[in-house]
Amino acid sequence: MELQKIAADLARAGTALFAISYDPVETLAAFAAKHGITYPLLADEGSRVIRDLGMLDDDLDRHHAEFGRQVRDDQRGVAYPAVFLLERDGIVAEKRFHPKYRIRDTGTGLLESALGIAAPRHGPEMVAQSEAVRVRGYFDSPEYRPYQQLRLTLEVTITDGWHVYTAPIPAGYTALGAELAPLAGVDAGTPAWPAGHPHRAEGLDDVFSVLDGTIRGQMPVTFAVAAGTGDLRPEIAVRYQACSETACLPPATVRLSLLVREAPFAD
Amino acid sequence: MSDELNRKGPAVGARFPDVTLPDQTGAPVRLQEARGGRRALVVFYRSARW
Repeated sequence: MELQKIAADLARAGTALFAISYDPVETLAAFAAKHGITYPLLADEGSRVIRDLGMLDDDLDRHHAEFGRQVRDDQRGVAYPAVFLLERDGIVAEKRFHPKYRIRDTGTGLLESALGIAAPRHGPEMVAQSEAVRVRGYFDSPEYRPYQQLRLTLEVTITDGWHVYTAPIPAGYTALGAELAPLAGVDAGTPAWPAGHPHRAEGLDDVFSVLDGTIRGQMPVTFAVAAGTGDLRPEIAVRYQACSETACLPPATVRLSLLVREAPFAD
Repeated sequence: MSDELNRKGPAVGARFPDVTLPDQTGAPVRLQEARGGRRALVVFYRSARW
């Protein structure tokens, strides 16, 4: 089991690890013995907790139907594969879902946080998507202080086989960009994206600069507001134009809205 | 799909419910208590059998 490979790293980072499935204790005991599992495998036989937490995989019938398979009775009640990162106060800091259960599919960000490599806690994140592009955004802190500058991270995942244009770019095309909707006192700087690589489109003379795969952009955001302004919810629009080797989509926008709380007074 | 998925389970920013389940030895584990104030990864997976 892949989790066992990171169990020691997690322990060193001071992060506890729990796994939950609908298997009975005897199954988990045998599994733990066979694979040398040292962390708790929790047995939710009957799936009561999985159900109560809203984690039941009710898509199972549909998934199986796509592969022309019937769901066996002993497969009912399974949890939707997911990872939750709990902060020290027990609050859910991040969550990830992955249809195929592999920890490496959950995104490095969560593991970095869990292993204490990344900043211990960033603001709430939001994921939104449009055709060929998914954007995950979060501020580097859940709170702002008046006149503080926070950093907004935008993680853009471009579907395999597609790329998005980035600057420099010929006139008439849309480069990847992000901007903040007007919000009194809140000002965004220019987003910084990784450099694109040159791409020559079939039948066109222009050379484009493109990005593909998963990239991260960052954007400084200054909260020039008076103390007592309260919690804010900046809205971010990410503009892009995606193309494959055979097709180009019209320019599109993915919108995020991220809560940033006003920090309580220090004294 | 992502938005739909993100609504599944305890929300980001909410306290993870205080669930109690037996571990592989049969001993009951109160998850929030067993964390002992540490950060925790809670992994839901389909099954150890398949």
